[in-house]
Amino acid sequence: FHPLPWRQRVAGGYMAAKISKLEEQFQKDAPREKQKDGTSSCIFSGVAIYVNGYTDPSADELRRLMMLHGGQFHLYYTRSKTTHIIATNLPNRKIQDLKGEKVVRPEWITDSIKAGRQLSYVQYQLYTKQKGLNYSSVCARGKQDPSSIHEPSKPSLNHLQSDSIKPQPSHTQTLSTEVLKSTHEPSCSSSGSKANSHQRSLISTASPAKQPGLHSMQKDLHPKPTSNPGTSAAPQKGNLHDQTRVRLNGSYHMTPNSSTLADSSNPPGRSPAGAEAGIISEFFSRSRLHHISTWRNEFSEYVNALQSRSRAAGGAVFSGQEKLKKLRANCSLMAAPQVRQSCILHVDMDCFFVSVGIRHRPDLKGKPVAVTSNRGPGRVAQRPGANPQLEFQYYQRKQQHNGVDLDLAALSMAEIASCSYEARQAGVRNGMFFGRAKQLCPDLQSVPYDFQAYKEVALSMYETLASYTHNIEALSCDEALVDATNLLVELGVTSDDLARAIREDIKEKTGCTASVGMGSNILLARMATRKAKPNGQYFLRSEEVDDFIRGQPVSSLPGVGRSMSSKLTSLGVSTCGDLQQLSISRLQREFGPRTGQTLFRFCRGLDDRPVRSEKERKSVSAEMNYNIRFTQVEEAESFLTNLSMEVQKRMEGAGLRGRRITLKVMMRKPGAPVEPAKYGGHGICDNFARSVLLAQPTDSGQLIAAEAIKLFYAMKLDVKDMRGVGLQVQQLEGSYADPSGQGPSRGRSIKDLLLAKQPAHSPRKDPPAQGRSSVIRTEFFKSITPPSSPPSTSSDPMPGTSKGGLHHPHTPNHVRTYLNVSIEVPSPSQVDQSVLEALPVDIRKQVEHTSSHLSTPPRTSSSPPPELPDVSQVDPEVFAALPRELQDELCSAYRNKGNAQAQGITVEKKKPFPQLKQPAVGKLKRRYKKRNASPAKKGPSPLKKLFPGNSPAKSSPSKTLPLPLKHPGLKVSLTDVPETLSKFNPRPVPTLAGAYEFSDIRTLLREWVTSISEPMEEDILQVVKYCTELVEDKDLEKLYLVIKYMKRLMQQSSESVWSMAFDFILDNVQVVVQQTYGSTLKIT
Amino acid sequence: MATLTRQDLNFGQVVADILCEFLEVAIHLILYVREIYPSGIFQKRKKYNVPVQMSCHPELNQYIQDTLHCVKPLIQKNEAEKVVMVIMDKEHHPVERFVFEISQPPLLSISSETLLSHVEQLLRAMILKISVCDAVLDNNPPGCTFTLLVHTREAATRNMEKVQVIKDFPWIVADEQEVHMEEAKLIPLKTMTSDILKVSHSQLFCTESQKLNEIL
Repeated sequence: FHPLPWRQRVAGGYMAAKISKLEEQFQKDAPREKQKDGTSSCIFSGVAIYVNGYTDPSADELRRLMMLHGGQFHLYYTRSKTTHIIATNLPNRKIQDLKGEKVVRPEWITDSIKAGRQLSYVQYQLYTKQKGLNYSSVCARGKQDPSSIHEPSKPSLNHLQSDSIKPQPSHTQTLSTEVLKSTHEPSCSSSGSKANSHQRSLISTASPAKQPGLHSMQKDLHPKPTSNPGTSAAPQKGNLHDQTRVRLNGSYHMTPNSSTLADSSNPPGRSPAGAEAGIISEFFSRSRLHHISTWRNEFSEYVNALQSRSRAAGGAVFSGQEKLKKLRANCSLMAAPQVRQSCILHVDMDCFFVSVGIRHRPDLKGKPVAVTSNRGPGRVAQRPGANPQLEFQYYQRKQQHNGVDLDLAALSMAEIASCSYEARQAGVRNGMFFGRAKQLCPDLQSVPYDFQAYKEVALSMYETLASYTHNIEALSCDEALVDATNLLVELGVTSDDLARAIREDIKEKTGCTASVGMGSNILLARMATRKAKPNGQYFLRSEEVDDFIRGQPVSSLPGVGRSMSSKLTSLGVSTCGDLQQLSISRLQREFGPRTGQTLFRFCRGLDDRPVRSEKERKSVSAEMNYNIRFTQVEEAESFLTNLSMEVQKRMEGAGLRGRRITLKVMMRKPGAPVEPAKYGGHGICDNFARSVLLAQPTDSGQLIAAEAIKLFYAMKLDVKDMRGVGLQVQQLEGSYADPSGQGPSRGRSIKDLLLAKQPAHSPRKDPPAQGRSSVIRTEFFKSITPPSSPPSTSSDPMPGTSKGGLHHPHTPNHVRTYLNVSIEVPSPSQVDQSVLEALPVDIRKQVEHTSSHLSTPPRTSSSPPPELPDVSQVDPEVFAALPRELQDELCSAYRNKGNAQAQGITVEKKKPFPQLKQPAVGKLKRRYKKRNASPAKKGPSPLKKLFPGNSPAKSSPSKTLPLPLKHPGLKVSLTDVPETLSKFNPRPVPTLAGAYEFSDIRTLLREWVTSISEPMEEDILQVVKYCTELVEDKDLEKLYLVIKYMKRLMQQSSESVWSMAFDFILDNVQVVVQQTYGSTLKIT
Repeated sequence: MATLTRQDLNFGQVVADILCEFLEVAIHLILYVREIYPSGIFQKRKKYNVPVQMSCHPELNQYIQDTLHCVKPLIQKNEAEKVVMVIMDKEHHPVERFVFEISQPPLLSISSETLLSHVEQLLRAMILKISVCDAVLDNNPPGCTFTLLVHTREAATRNMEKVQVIKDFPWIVADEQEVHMEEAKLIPLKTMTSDILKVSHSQLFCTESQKLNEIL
């Protein structure tokens, strides 16, 4: 709060002198005043006030009073010295500037003098956003009479709290009296809300003294001392819930979980800020729902493990398959196998949690049952400070529930995780509060959570599925996708038979029913499941698709949530049929290019997502929105630090590192009750998020914490209103720490690794290159397993001929192998000896040196023909690290080695020189970049993948590439910055398939246009996305160049599709530019 | 956690100084290149190691200086989004706009690699781009005038009202017609990103009225 901030800065020395002079004067005057007045005291010792604006009594009078009573009076505000600001009114602007300063009404001084002691300033606080007002924002305002006992004096303990940090002796005296005066429980709950350890120790000593008084007082006023969660060690059961966002049955519920946190004597979960170490990991280790949500990953891994095992064993035994075969043999009547057609099965257990919960309780079958933590009648006593009505109204408005009424306040807030179909008929829904459900369906039975059983059943379901095929994608603990295309052809059975067999199997093994939906793609299969449920199966035939999908509500499409469906409703769309009426451009305008296109396709039943046995993880995050109550900024900081450590743990677990860190914060909505209806819950909140992009991927908790704290400060939030904090790390890549490709999959598909390793041993066992080229077409920019064609040789520099490279006899897989391994899990064993030999001595030494550091001696392969990909074994950074002369020398050395020895190496070598733009180079580069979803954008990107194989160099300390400042626009800092230094990083640089420099982009685009006759939508959208990002990055110059270059390229192309593609891109970009700048680009 | 802020390092001021200096040079140069004023009032000077043209007309110079003087505190506080130079024809219809977009990284920090010379190189590149921008632009009709606009962020204008940096040099809200051009086309000229120094990220482009294109 700097009313005159500039003065201090501008006039620095002078002001300092003046202030100290004024202080001296004040000190000199003080005794004189005391003498004059006669009535003096020391009640304000340690207090220094600054008077802001008009006050009554006047500033002069206050100055006099302060002199008399041992206080300090500052004519100028100094943050460090002034303890209180005295004001009766502050302009809005100044209020907003308040950051924890104590702004107190002048009555504080006069009343304190009257009382003969320093009263707590808290009741006199002018504005509520201030320190120490955790629970009392409403009450503290406008309360004039401090002596009134019946006024809630809640803040008193907060007072203690804030003072306990900066102890002021005079305050402690008042404390005890204050505490005894306090009649309102929240003060206690706030005492329980201490989080800092030293604070807690203070409380623990203080509380025995004050508790008796408190309790007796409470008994007088509130006969039922029910809710005193802070101090009473026995909180209401079912009142305390883990609240964590967990994905159950494919949708998010705020799920309750009767928590054991409160049972421990010193409950860490209680201290709301969760500031002490370990709280977060404890929270997550106890939150079992959180576990369920992680099961999906576990099952993915399970499926992967099965696959790899079967691969290792040279083919798995599929017991289920055998059974089916027998079945088919028995019924010879079986229809002849149909034409090969893709068939996806979506297997989903019927209300999983319920059916597992009652599988050993036949008495409950056929009755309305709900899985929830609450087992009582659905009523709990109300906690003070909470305003459930208001929250209900809010949720009601938001979710448009039909009439919620009655005394909701007293209803159980335990949410229903899952309910049976019988209960659903009565109107009970998943995620509903139990109390409300009980009203709807009075004979609703509740079943407790049984996590062990869930896991068992889920596992046996996956085992069952795996006995048929390993083409399984785990969606959650109770649903999975099965790609049965090959299986059906192989077995010659119909999909219905297969589904029946699977369902019978599951029923037999788990005692629970499952439904199976079938369709030609994932989308249709999932939609068919809706029709199949409960306990049925449905095959959505391609001929019925059109009619079927037209009638489906849009909300049944994946990815269409509440907000999107409401947006669609505003467009007059409620069914997929309506959605089909909208043009793709309209959709893309409304929802962005990507989502728009997806919607466009989905509503027509088109879906080309493959069944993937393991999805690449997009983000790692930890989030906590339960029991977050901070009072101090430091608590929030330490909480963030701990949360970061949790994220680190998870990232380490997944073997990933990420570059983008997002901090998500839930803040109490202004006007929402300070204490939500649900104990420790977050109540009505606004969500805020900010993210930052690091220069280097990291998994260091410390680094993440530093960034998160920085983001946190940048958001300028009031810690007291924080109700939830989440940290998410995106733009992941594999951890370099993984020493070799031999390790487990670690976040990347095992398949990739397998594919990668196989050829390493037998490089020639490859599918024909023919198949590859199609892959190139479909996923040019972003394929996970990048297709590759051996770059053409140096004697073959024409772009046109590079096309031929697609069908080059060399094994594309070989190339991929090395690339694949080299980027993330490079191992010295991958170093091609021949290349090594070809290297100049000094470099070779370095390579060998670093290899030996990794303690794996380079494997001497029986010298395979030195193909170009082998060159990629050399780390680009090593090359980059070399002095200029050495690089030149290297290049010439290669040239001298002759073409036979080092095909294409020359090409590779020349890459640092801009004049040489070999298409093959571009391709390689691209491949590299595709692998690396987000390569470090700083640094010598054109060189980056020159020699990706030689990981050892990566461990060498720090490399600098002395690249001359040729392009002023380019970044020059090419140091391989140690990660700790990467804290300061610029905004994300837009990239196209990992490339960000214009020359790279150009090469990439030229490759794209020249090598492919027909652009894929996917790729076009990538380009549009890139261009949009450029606009957002305000890099219009580059955008302009890119567009002009594309225009030239594409309009020259003989294929008219390319012109159309360009027009499409241009239109999209122009829309974005128009939105951002109000005018369109001039493209000549 | 000690975060170095703008104030601590007085970095904002440095940034503002550099930028305003650059803007002054750029505005003079645009006036010359776009032939808003007769070339006689311009003198050749050297700035950023390249020749630039600078007006000698005292009142014109005063106007530019005053304007930038007022802009400076805004840049310092990171409140200025764009500085726009609008060139208008006789009827006061804008025919061209040169937009300098300024965006500063949220956190300024100094690293050892921070070199002013690097920034100078970037600024020089921009100046050079301006001096050749007439190649991509159409000629202006005779009798053009120019005006300077500042797009501020949020409520910065209110502060400007309160604290008039220069007496009797108040700002007015720009007329809609000065701000908007119908069917304008945008020509990006140069973007400079000084990430190392993290000074600013400014951008210059020019919008031309479509009408004009039709005439020619």
